[in-house]
Amino acid sequence: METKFKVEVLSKEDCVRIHEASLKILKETGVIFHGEQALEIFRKHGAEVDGKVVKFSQKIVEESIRKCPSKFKLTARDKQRSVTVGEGLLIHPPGGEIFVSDLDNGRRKGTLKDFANLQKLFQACDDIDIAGYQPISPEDVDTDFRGLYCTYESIKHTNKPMLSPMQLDNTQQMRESLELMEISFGGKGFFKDNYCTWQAVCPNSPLTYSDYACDGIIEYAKWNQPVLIVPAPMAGITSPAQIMGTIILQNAELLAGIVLAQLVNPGIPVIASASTTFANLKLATWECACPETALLVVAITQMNRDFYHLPARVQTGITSSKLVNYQAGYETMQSLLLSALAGAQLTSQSVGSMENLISVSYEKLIIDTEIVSRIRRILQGIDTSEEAFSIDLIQELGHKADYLWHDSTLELCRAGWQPTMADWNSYDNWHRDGSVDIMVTANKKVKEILANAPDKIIDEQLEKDLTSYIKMVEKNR
Amino acid sequence: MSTLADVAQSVVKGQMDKVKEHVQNLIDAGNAPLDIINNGLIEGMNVVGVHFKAGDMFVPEVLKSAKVMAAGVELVKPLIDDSEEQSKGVIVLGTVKGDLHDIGKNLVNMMMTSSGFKVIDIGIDMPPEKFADAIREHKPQILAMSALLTSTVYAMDDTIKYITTEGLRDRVKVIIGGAPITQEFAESIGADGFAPDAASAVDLCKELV
Repeated sequence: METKFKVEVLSKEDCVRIHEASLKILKETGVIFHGEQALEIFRKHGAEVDGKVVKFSQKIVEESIRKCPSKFKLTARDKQRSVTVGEGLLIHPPGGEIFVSDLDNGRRKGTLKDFANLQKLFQACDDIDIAGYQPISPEDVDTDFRGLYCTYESIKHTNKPMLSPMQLDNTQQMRESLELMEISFGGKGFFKDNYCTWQAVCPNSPLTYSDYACDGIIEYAKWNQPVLIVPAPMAGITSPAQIMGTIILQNAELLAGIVLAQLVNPGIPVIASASTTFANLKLATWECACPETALLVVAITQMNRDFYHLPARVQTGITSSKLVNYQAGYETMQSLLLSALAGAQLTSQSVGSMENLISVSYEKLIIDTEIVSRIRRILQGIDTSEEAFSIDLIQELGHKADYLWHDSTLELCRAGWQPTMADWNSYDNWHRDGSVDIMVTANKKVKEILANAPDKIIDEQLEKDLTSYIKMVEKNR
Repeated sequence: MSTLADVAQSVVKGQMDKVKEHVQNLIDAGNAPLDIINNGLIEGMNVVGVHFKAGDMFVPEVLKSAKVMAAGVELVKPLIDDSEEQSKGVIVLGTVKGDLHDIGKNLVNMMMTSSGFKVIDIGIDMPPEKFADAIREHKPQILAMSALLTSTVYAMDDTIKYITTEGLRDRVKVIIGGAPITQEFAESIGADGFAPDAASAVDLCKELV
């Protein structure tokens, strides 16, 4: 359902100006591509390649944008859970965090067990639409096989649509992860006709695609899997301190990546992400939670979704807080609500992430699902139908305060949004029930979900197929 | 064939037609009227109270159950001799002087009535004299006062002082409620009890009589 109200920070003319400025940068300054294969593809299609710098004509850029679908189906192993990316608001897990924390054990490096537990939580939480990805980097797994094991654990614990882990360091590792995933969908060839996963491809700002980023685009596009491009300049550090300048630079990076993806596989879906941050120049660090970052991602979402008609992802719902506290709450809500009202169709980092994407909290993950649920309710807006005006009822009851007793209230009494985490009780009832803090409520919920989650949701045969594939990979390395 | 459990269940679910049907069947089958009320209708409301406290039922649903319960009582009432009619106790209920709010008070009334108490609701903006008159006239076991405003809660103190000087304090247990009220406040003005919501108020009354 499309919302009737929207937050915008750019005018239509601003969008055109950003597009034109990006074309100028692409044409005159160009973008560095370190991947030899990528350079070859550009040469073959007549782009101007000077060393590693590729310069783009307006024509090739605009043709590439036109080839991108504005929405596509992302298929889940459980078909009921497949989603349409580019329609409504979808939430996917955080990715790239290193530490985990929970109320019982505090903050620590994440392990594969934590990774599996987090997948169980994604599977159980209705407000999280997509699972997999890489909410923590499991410290106890050899880096060569980390992405593969993450893929395996995701398959084992969730049948929602599943994103690929980030730690796939080369084409071979990407291929292994994709092959393992394809086994879970029933075997070779399934991905040729079904979009099932993607990997995050991040240019190195300013205006550079690493070898690794080139591989990410080419390999996934070759597998006929969507390409997610995540320009992430830090305003004042790797892009201009001016918000507009940063928007233009990241936009040029995005468009260059789109051209490569469409040259490899014309019509392949490209998800455009607003993951840009405004820097905290006091420390020269990125600051995901500042108001300027929230404004930046609103503007970029406008460009991606409304101007280019691309599925628009946003890195949002983020905090730099070290504790799950008041700061964590308002920073998370500030960015997620603004992004959602800007029309974000997909968000990352919105459930559980802390400390500017350094750690993930089990409890915050659960609490954040309530923020998502609140925002989904807000996006529904209000019913403005004739019936909703209730004129007959107002005249029937006149000056009597009998609405609470009236059948019309009874009918609708459960239609209102209700919290799963927030405590709406009176002080006395709250006190009577043990004066419980929200962290304790969330901790209890985490334990309940993990206690009820099965050891695996896949059958014996699939588990055997997956583990023997992994053994084969380990033997051949 | 209907059972007392069917009656209770209809009350919990707020099913008006069903409760009438089951109550009528039980009457026709010769069940004792008081048995139908106490072990069918009131039992249903007891379950409603538990659900409400647990957060599983919403106030409009509780009110609907209370209405359904009252409809059941209406069917049984003509069959009960006056001498036989018994209630869990008599409660005089009112909103204190200066305060016109009655939504909370009416909720409490509904819950108390549905639990088998006889409730005399003397209304809103009631000065101490009216509470005293009601004690003399209705001889309640409990006097229940309501206030919503922080400025009117002190009228509860005035009322207790007044009924004390009138020599009526020992005849009743005094309970108070309303958004600004706390247990501490209740103790400070010498009330016998306080409840934070309508369902708890019923439990409190059961303890006090």
